[in-house]
Amino acid sequence: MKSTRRELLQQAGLGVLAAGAASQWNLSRAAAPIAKGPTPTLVAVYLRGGADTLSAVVPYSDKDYPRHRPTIAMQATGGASATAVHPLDDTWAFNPNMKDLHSMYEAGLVAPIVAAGSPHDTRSHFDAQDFMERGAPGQKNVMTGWLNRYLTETKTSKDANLRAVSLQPLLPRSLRGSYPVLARPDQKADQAMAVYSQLYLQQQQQSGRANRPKPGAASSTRAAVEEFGARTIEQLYELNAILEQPAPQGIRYPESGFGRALRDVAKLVKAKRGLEVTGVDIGGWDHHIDEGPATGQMGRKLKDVSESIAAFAQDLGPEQLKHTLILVMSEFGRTVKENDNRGTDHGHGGFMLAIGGMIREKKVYGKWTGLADDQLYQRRDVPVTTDFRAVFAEAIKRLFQFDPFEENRMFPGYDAEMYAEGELNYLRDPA
Amino acid sequence: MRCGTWRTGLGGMKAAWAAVSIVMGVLAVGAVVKRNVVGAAPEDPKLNANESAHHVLVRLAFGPRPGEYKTVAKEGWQKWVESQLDPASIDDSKLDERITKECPSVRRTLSELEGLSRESDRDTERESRDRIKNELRKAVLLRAVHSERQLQEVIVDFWRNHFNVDVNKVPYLATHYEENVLRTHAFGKFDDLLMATARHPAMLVYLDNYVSNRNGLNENYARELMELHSLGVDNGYKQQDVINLAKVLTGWTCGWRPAENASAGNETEYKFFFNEGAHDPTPVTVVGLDIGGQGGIADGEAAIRHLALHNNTSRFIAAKLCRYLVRDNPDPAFVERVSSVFRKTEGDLKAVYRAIILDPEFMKSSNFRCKVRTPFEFIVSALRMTDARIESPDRIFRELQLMGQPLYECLEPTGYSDAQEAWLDPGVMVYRWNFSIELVTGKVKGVSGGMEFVEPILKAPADSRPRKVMEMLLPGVTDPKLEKLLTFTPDPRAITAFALGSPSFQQQ
Repeated sequence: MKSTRRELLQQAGLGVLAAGAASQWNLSRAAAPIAKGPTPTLVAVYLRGGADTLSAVVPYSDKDYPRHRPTIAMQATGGASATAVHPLDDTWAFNPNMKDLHSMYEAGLVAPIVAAGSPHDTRSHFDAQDFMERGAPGQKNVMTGWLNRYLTETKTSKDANLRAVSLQPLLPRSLRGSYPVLARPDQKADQAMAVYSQLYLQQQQQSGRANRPKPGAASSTRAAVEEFGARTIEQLYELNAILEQPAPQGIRYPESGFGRALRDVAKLVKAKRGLEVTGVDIGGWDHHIDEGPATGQMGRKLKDVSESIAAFAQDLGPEQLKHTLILVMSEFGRTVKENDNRGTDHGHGGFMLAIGGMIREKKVYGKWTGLADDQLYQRRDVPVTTDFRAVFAEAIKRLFQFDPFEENRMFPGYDAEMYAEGELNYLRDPA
Repeated sequence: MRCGTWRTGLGGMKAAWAAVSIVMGVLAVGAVVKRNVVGAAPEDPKLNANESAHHVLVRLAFGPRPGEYKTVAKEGWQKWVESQLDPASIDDSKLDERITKECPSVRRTLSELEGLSRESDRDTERESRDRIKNELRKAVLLRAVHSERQLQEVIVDFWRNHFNVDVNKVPYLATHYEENVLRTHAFGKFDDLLMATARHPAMLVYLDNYVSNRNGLNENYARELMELHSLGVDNGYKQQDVINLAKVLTGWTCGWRPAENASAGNETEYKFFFNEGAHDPTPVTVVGLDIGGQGGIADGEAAIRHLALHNNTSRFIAAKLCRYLVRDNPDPAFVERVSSVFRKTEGDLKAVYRAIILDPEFMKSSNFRCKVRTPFEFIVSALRMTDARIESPDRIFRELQLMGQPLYECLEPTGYSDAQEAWLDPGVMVYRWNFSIELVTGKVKGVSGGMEFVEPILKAPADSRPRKVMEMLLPGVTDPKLEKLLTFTPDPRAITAFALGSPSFQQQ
């Protein structure tokens, strides 16, 4: 692939330019740390499809749990080890496949949050994901992601090139908005960047960013295109230089898309280039049929999540983990009762996981009212007792030490008072 | 490491690089000076004949096919515009035949299409759903690239986004919607277009109105109907209007019903219908119009016609069309002139398009090349201007997805934006650059013929090749800076790739 592309370029006569651009860049310098102190980093992990909360954080001692789920419930003890859950306390346990996360919980690094979700009642994947990632349930006129709003509100002219990066080509919606977040293309880019850098980078540097023509004219349109092309090249050279470093020995990431993504995020964090926000998507949580929470499809996914996150934490090491927060979320939970296909359908309340060195207390967070029929939302779903915005807002407040309610631009329709009422207190302030 | 390999054996090229850099330095200084002169000029001159030909062919078409520019420049852009404003007068039968052959499902009835969804075998159903979706997307792409009725395709793309539906939420239905709503009414009256969208199962399902009923009101469609389709966001309606309109539209739904002309095997048909039992007949007011609450479906029809012809709608639609066809921030006086034509003609869309194109504003030099090509416009233009032929569209679908504009898959009811800031994301430029290189080296699978443009350029002496490439991709545009940069190699493919990926070609 690599050499094919190069041959292709040379065949097309473009090798001349590629050669020139390479000499412009000193890659070891591009990968050198720029951040002096630790940079707080938030990794937003999105389980797309509506992950079944009751199969991940299992209410194993609830008397109604086996009744609702005759074929897919899991047991605390007895039975094969593959279906034995890992107790967190007298009520809750992690799925049998979440052994590594259970160890991290024991070490005080994981805060499971139950009955969390959206106050809006939609069971549409698209609407629910939009509402959550935009941090604005039910508000279709809010089009920007909550993380992008944070970046925009705190933007300075000195922002690191890699302050906000998505390692996947499609930006998670939480990162979309007016702050330019780099989405890493899933095509090789270096040759193209080399070819076009003289049209974009140099030209743009020479004309100067400050000296902008008046908006709306052709020259201004051109300047904007040049700027974004130049920014692409600068950011990608820097990013690729970091990601091309070898992975650390002795840390076993699962050979999965998620494992690879977290391995790359770890490289970025450890390079100390100012990464503050990134997002990783894992698709395939819409288990209407044969959910397989223990040994089937969902079980395998949870194992991947658990082992990848554990490898990531080990890779970062305890010191860096103090300033790192992983938030795992999904658009909604699923029906409490299993359906006729050994699966579950779209529900309401779900779960979230907060993972990192800032977790306040070793416990399961969130108000829980049990699985009796009259406690369920619309008599079918887990209710929502924690608004996901409480989790988001606390992350912004404690991890980034930024007040999300000043001028109320971060969470429209959700103010400091509403936050105070439902504050979880799952994070400590940084050391 | 990869960078190291470029350097090996190419050290001798450094001199060439240095030469280019020096030239660029000089040009950059020149550009700044020129910019200041433009900034100081008080008047906004009209475009000359060559620029005008370019302007109409990139704004009212997806770029000229080879040779097309010369014809338009010679015969005058007005003649081209007049003929394009009457799409039916332009012969497009070759393309129509091709679409019938390669995308047969676009000619199917609603019942034939929706019938495919009833297949009980999941794999078979999935297969036909993918096939129908890809035939729809192929038809859209073939028409944009190959149709002679270019203005029609540009305009249909506008309405496709204005009245967006996501093919994945409404598989099968979207195909019928494109053919029988968007394409049928794009040059007709706005109220007919709005009514056709409101009555189409694709829209009723996409925005959830089909489940809305007197006991369980769903406001989704009613809100978007005012916010996105007619009045514009927060433009003359309140939450109570949303609720009232939703009530008026309860019972507007779709499904399988007894067929009007039933025959053996065809007892039922899939269609829009009014469900009296689900309808809330309470008398209400919608944006100043009292709805009697007795007319059943007539109540909804009255509300929709009222919205279609509302003054705020005329301004909203006029402004949006001016943004699309002229500039991201159109002059308010210009928008007002266009919206008054909308009102005078009661939403005659052809008259509105004409009012925009023939307004002196359209040909002002400040509007020349001030818009950024969306990914769709970039790809379609690149294919048209290099005379490429699409054999199989899958690779193009993939490119559009990578660039963030997958065809017919916009999740949001807003449709894709055509404004500059929506598309200038870091990262995305890489796909445009790679596509430019691969297109000219014949590496875009399913696209052929794109190499033929090389022949005439090769025949030209090496030093006039940049000029030839400029005439192909940026005809009528004076861009000495780019033209000078294109002299770095005699290879026509390299020159073309460089020009396609340049900032200049991202503008239109």
